[in-house]
Amino acid sequence: MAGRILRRTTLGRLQMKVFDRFVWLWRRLDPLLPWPPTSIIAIGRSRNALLFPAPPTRATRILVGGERLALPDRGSDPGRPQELRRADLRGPDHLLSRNPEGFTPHNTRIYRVTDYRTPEQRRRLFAELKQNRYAILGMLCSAEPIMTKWKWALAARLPVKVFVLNENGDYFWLDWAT
Amino acid sequence: MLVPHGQEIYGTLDKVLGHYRRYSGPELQAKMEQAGFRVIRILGFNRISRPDGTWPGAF
Repeated sequence: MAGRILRRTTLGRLQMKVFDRFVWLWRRLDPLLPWPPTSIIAIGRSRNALLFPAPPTRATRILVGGERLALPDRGSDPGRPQELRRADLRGPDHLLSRNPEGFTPHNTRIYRVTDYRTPEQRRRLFAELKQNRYAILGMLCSAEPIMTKWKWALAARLPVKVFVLNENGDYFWLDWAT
Repeated sequence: MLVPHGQEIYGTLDKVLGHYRRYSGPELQAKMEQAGFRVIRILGFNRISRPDGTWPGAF
């Protein structure tokens, strides 16, 4: 109304304050109002994103079969494994986790960090992971500081492209080669 | 993805805010699919600021 009918280019401070004050009311009224919305939100998944691939086909499986994906930790969010299964996540070849219960991917080797408590054990683990020559290191971050040192240590020591997915669903790549 | 809805109410505020256009649901869905996304859901909101949208002869 302000822009189309009144031809305004700004919204008044008082108008904004009143609007903000009654957001709780607008939220309740919004689904009841019969006219079209001012904004729309579209929720979608990239067909090309690593964690949200298209439904697996023979060709897709062959394409990623040669790659190895290590996922250090899934966070303590109990809902996440379900989300991952619903998203039809291709199971990682290897999983490094503190608490992998509930995550039941097929053909995934699980490394439990509790099995590597001493510096010597961790040194051997890193050497083994390095030998695995991963193509991608996937890092699922919850809003909690879980396995932070492990994540950074892996990202720093493994010659691998790192895929980081945070609790908001934002993701980015870390690649030492570029 | 959040976008302004309804090209018919494109106005001066849109220009100031840097909007080049406003979208309809089907239009946004088509563009997202063209860009490689599978659209799961489209939600409309903020109806309170658009009561003029249904007034007969408003535009």
